Amino acid sequence: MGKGRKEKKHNINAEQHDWYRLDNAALIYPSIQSDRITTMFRISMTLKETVNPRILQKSLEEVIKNFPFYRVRLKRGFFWYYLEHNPKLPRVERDVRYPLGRLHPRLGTRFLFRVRYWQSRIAVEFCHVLTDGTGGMTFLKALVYDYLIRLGKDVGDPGDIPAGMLPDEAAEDAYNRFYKSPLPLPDKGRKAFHIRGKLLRPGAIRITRGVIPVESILKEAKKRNVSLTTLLVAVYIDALQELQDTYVSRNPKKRPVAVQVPVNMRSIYPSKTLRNFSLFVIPEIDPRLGKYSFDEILQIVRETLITQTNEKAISRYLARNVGGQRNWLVRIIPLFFKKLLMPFLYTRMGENLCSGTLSNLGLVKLPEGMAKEVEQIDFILATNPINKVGCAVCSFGDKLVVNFSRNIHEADVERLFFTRLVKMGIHVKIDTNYSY
Amino acid sequence: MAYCVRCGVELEKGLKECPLCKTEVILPDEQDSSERVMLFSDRMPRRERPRMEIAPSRSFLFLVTFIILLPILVTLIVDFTVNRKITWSFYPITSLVLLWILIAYPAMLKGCTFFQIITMDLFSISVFLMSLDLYSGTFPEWSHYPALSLLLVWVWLAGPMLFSWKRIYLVLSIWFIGTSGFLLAIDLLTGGRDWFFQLACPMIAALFLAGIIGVLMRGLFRAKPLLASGTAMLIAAAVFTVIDATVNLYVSGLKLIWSPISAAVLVPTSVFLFIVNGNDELKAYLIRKFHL
Repeated sequence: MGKGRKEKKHNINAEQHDWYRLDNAALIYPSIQSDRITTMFRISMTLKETVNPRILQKSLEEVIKNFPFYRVRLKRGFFWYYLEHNPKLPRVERDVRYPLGRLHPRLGTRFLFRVRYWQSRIAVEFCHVLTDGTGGMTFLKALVYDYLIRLGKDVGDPGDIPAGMLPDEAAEDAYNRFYKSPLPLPDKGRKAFHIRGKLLRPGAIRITRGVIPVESILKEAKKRNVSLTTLLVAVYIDALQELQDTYVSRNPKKRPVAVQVPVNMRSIYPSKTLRNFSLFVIPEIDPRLGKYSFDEILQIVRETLITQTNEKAISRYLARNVGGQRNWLVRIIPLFFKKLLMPFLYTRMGENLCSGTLSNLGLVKLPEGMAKEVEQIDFILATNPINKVGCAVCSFGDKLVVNFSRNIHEADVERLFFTRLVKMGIHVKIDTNYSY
Repeated sequence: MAYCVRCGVELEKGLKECPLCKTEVILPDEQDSSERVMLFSDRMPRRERPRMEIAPSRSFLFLVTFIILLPILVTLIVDFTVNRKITWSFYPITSLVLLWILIAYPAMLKGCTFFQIITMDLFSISVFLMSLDLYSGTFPEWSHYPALSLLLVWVWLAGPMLFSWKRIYLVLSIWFIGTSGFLLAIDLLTGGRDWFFQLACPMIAALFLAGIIGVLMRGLFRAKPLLASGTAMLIAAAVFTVIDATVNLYVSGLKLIWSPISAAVLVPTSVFLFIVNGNDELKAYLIRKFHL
């Protein structure tokens, strides 16, 4: 009897690993995917030696076993999409000129991530349906760690890098776990200023990479008594403000300049999930009230990031998002009709409210032995037709790498952003994927 | 080590211009692109052709097959019990089989394209209609008309799907030949060469010619919308005149009834657009006065 019950329990667990519900953040992405809205992000590690694709393939096949919740394909249910175990094994592929392209249109058969290599670089491109930057970085660390071990490198103890099968809590839907009964809804927000420009052809993306010495920018932030993220967001807002001034001369016609800053919720709630668990804080200025000086912007950003990045403030957003998903009226609507509604929600409640995104993965720490083999870490965001420019920041060792991605010809935001840093006395080294 | 003289940023070795402000790099000894370690590979991403996403799953196939099989069996049993042979049940059974082909059969064709599905559906409907015609008496009595129409629909869809819009002249030619063939066949089947050569052929030829000229003009006047619109109006006026003249010639003799009215609107408007296109001052005045 006891044995039978044990077997039954085991089967339930097996079934749970066979498919996963989409987490709250992932719900919207399958319905809005297109050549222009790819909902992807990319993290890459540049090593000190050229990558061997055969060994990388072996590492990938080994590492994916420890991440069963990434070894999935997207399937359509009657009411919701869901993730189903994919019996195939992912393949590594050579990198391309335009990264972050749309995943194969037949999502139902393919993985929701790619592993790409080129010269000495290993990159993972994840669809946001699967995970956020933290999950992507954990997977890349595990992959590169295994790859370096196979090369015979002395990389030492893995530290926080997962070396075996991950526990169930890594696959939990943390949004639902920490959802509290209805709370007052957050403000609806107003339509923000959006960059103008001539769109590139679908699938094309222009990357402008700025490499900055960490020490010099930290010194600048310390001088102004703010965090690194605060300083970068303020520079970004200032650049957008200046750009709006060139489009619109009269103050009453100007729109708020707001920058979406993703917040890693794992630092607020005790969760070890490697699926999506982030929300946004949106510092904004209202140029209708006049031109803001850089110090004023800095102060607004600092206060917003401090007052909004705590459990009480963020739980309102959590309650709004998860509350909508839990509403039984929403749940009984067939997926076909939900799909019609999702793009509207995505535009109205998401992209319309901000002028750009700045995502900072923070300082990446690697085990000492592994860190010796890694030259640089890059983080890149995908764009969309409303917010045409994305800014992703990541630091490793003595380098802070700021990657701007855009789907328009004009590089005005990047120019204003980097020249502002240069004016502060910070050294910036620029590279790109389109100007040779 | 190269720096942009305008932005002040250091530029990666081998860059010929500043990616931020397009200023040329002024350090010729470091401009050799062959030395450049490029940020990304030169390989272009492969553009995947979208496949049939509405193809149902295998489970759906079994479910629908079962649901459709039940009434087929019931109908057969009832008909056979009463009449000892298949009589009226032929109609519901063939209809249900057609329904199965339209709904469930795509699930058996893994990874089939939209074009393949459409081809199969149109072919199945034609066979279904012909089987009804055959079963009800003399064949062919009426089924060849809808079957031919479905063939024409297939030709119209097949052109752009097989050859893509890049081969627009080929697609237009296929449409022209397909439509002419269809109308000729209808003409022959309904009595013979009464109206095709005198009425349908000139009209289709005029539309085909207008299509070819339109495509040519689109290439020539891509950046000149006023010229393009003016030319399109002239082409439309010419096509209307041909249609009017052909219809009247067939009915009562060569004369024009309604096409002069349309030409009286279209020709002066196109002349006006040509004048505006050539006169920058007038163009600026109109933009100033009528901007939205």
